Amino acid sequence: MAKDGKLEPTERPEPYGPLWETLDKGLEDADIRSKLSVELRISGGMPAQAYYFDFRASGAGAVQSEIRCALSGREGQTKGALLDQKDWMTLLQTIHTSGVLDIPQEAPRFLPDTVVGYLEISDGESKHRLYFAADEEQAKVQDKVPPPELVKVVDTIYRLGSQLLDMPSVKP
Amino acid sequence: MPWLNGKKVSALWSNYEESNVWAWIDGAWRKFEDDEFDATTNFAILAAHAKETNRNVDVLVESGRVKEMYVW
Repeated sequence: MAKDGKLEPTERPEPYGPLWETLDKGLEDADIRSKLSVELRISGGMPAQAYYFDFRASGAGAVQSEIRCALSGREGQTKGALLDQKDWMTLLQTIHTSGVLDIPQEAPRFLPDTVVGYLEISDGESKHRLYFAADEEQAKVQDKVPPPELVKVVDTIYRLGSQLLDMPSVKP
Repeated sequence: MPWLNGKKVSALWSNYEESNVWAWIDGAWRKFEDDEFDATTNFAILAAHAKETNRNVDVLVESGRVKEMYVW
């Protein structure tokens, strides 16, 4: 049961800088790079056109991706895939140069049945999550066309997802 | 202190004493409530899972103790 006077942890975990700084250092330092993770999840659409795509990668080497598209019949999931370090660097460099971390984070506001995606970049301490309309037509109609910085990163992930799932395209 | 939402578990610590488990969440060590043995263990399991999978947690911290935890 509870007792007062117990010992307490005295060490502190390795301090992390702001996310951009961690990313900047991570491009040069494999240890820091291993703490970064990137996640893209997209889902939505009417039942007959339901779309789901998931991509998660971490610098520790794990990567997984999944797609389910009712309209095109695409379906697939990775099993025990490992992240190619070259691909991981390409993705991090794209994030770094795109300026996606400068896009302000906003709460998602979309019409029902919109195919909504979120991109989350994290260093294990801080995270930057951006919501966007993933279907080009829906984005135009709702006047929510994603900024080019975000599109650049998302397109890079689509390419990686296509490779992992062995499909010509995984885009909605 | 109210809920800390969307945070990461950056580190964990425990020692030989009864129900003495701490997690580094949102820039500080947070002690898991130790009124019940199994509650402390349950928190430790959830926190370890969150750390391993890099998932976000929401924790309710009251009187310097983690009282509730969600892992998303």
